[in-house]
Amino acid sequence: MLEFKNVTKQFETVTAVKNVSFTVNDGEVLGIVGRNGSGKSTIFRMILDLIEPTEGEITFNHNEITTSVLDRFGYLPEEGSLLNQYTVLDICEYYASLKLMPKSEILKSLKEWLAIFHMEDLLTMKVKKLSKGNRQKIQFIISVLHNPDFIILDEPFSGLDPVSVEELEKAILTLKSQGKTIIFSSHIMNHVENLCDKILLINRGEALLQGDLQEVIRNYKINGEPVHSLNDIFIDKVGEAL
Amino acid sequence: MNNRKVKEIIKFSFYKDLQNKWFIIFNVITLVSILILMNFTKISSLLHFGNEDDIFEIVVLDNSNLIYGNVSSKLLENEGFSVSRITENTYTADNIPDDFVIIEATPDEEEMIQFSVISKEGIQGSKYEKLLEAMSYARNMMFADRYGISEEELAVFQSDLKIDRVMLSVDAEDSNSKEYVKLLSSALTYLIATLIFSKLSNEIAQEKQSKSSEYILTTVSAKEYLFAKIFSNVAIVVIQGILLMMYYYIAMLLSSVFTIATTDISLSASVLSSALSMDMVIYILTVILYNILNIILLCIIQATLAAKTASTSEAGNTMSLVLFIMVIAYVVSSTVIDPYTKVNSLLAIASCLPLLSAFFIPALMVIGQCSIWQIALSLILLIVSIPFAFHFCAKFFKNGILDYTRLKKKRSASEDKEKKLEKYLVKRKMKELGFVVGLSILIYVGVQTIFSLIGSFTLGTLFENIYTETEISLIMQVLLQALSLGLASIFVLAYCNKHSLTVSRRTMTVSKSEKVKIVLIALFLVFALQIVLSILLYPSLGLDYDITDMFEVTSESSLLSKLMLVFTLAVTPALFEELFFRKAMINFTSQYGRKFALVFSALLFGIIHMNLSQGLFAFIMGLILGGIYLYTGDIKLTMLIHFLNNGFAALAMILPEIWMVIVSIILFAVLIAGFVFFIQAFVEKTSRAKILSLCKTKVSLKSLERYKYVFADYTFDISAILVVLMSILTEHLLR
Repeated sequence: MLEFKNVTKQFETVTAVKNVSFTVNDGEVLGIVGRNGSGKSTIFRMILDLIEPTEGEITFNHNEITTSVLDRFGYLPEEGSLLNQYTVLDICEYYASLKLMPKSEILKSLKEWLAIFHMEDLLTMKVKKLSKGNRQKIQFIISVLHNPDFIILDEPFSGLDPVSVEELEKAILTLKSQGKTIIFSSHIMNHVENLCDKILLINRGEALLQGDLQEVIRNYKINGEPVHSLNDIFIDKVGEAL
Repeated sequence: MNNRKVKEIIKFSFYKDLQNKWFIIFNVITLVSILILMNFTKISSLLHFGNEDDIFEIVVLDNSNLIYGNVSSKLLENEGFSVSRITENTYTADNIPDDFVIIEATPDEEEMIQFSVISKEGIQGSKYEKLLEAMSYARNMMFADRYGISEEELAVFQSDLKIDRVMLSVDAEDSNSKEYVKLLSSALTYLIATLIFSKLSNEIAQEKQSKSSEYILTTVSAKEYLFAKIFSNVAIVVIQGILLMMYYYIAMLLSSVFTIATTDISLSASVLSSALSMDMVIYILTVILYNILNIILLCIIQATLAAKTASTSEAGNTMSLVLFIMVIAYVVSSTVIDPYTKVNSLLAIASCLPLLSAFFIPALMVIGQCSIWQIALSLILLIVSIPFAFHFCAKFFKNGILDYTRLKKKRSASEDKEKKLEKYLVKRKMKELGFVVGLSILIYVGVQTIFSLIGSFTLGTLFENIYTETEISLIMQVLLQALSLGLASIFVLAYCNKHSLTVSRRTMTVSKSEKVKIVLIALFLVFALQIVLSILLYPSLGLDYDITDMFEVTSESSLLSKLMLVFTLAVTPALFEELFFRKAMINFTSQYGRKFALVFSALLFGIIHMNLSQGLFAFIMGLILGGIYLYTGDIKLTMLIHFLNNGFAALAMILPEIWMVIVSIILFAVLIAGFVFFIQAFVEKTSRAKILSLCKTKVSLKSLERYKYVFADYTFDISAILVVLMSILTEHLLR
């Protein structure tokens, strides 16, 4: 269980995150939605101990998040982390071994995942030759290769064609059914609606709306009228806050 | 520290470098090259590249019978030489064979004997050496015979003086060898450091750019990552170094295979091993230890700096910085610590400090003024500083790598955005100003510097016997001014052309008669100004030095000198200074406002003279000329005025008295006319109003504030610093 309690992050001239709190229980999927530059990535970086919060506390199973805790985490960074001159196999082995995955298991797990995305022949291809979508998928595989319990995906669907989007959605649902906890960010509401149990709507560092997805949609009214999609809620809420 | 993860990062780095095809290629080529180069003569003889089979024929022309016997006996000690005697040299370029040398010996009063070595073309180095050996031997034997000395006694006389140097209160054994070791080790350390730093900084910059380091920092701590990077890069360079040493050793083995004599094998070891005392061994080991620790410490600093950069090229600059610090530390240690230094307590303390000790301690050991406590203390400090630096720098390293500076943009309300945009545009405009002005000044100063360096010796030798020194220096002055100002003007004018900047055209053109009046008024003002300044103001400020004293040209000098003087003082300044300071500068700066353009161009004109007396006059004259250019748009007027003003000073130097009087009378008449028109202009209402409106300047502090952004441009800063420095020096020299 991840607890994000009253966290604020103040940079020199801007407050990226203002007093945000949320909890993610085991096996849940949380979707963080917000406009570009609203603070989503900052939240992830604070969870991953890349940035220190100015105020507040972040705990995992009531413990501080240390490097050994992070070994059980998976992370798909927004801007990718691939090195061009290596092959897919090399880079996946490298990153997985940094998560203390035994070498013998890496290849096996990698092949399985590549099969799920129908990318088996990319195993020995150099990263620089991959298309953007394929890079994104490899990036995703890296984040789940070591069988983490907690997965953070920062804009996982960016750059993916519709078929790949479906594959990724299926993968996430499979992981969820395996009891993994997942947080991901997106600004395409369809994905969030299909996958999430909880949502957190963030704008300019402030949490505008959060809670159980179905409840949120049910209880939200625009001018007294009920809404049917998260998209409408997003535009209404964020438009209002502007 | 999580060992397994650190090992993985190190292994991955290794894999990248050692499995790289370029690494293999480099090592193979290096190995082959070293093998060939060190055994070149043997290999070329094997492949019959040289004409080793041919006999090298030497004939000796020694009609005074001084040296033939000794030369031939010495030469014939070598294989492949034949020596015979001739009585006359009948060889010319047409009939002299290849591989043929004539040695001519003639007695000489001072040198005892004078040798000539004649051949068709060049002679192979090794063969020439043998000829020298033989001729030198022959001369020595001549000397020995003449004065009845034996060969052995002569050898003693020719050998180096053997001195036993004893320093009673200082323990400086083998100072010279230690100095040599220190020099050698410093050079080697510098080379190795260059390699390590460049690899390290590049790798860090690359991983930062690809965001791979961000991901890695979610798996390991910053300290672990930093350690792994430094370790892997140091290790790779060490491995490469060991490989190179192995190649050298293999080459040595190969050469010993070629040579019959087996004493050559131990060449590398024997250089120092024959005379190594325990003290020397300790010294060498100490120096190595210090250098290793120092490099590790510097690696931490280098890595942290590289983490702060945004690209691999910037990372390269940080490497230059760190290397430069090493050079400075070495130079300081060599200068401050020499055999005459008395080590005071400040120096003793400074030499124990971590970054300095690697340079200072070996230097102190050379002069025997280093106690065991200093060594112990400095080593402890150095060793302790490494984990301390790791801990301290890790945070900066992490922040540098992650670099979430995008979030520093202020997200502000819309009205702030307007102001922000405006501020940004103003800043950009000012930077443009700084850039164009700064670069043109740099061109001006740069061309002057380069041209005077090159010109002084090329022109000097070129015209050595044609013109006198004064003439040459005057010619150079003319060319110098024309080139430097010309190029600077071309730059600014081309820039104006590209961006369509011109001085705003007046709607009414100025009539010819008005132009004439303007010229006359201007002449009056300029001369009046000169008189006022030189008689009234300058003496009281101590600024009454005469610049024209620099040129030693009088009415007695040659026509060319006089002509060149006129060019130097009048023609080129009039042409090119007007071109640059008025046309180019005003055209460019008028986009910032006409008043600004006027004042700025005059200010620049004043400053560039680099001394107060000329500068002040130039500033005011610049205002006058600038005003005329802005009013009329005609640069030829200002050129004319400038020419006449400077020309008078030039004429005063070169014309004989009578002529000077005539010229002065003409000038006086002109000035009177100018004075009259000047008064007229004041009296007449419309022109007075015009003049007064020009003088009224609304200068608010706020509008001046924006000019501070000019300093945001680095070209401007550099040129400003250079000009200030040169002005201070020039002013000082003139006084």
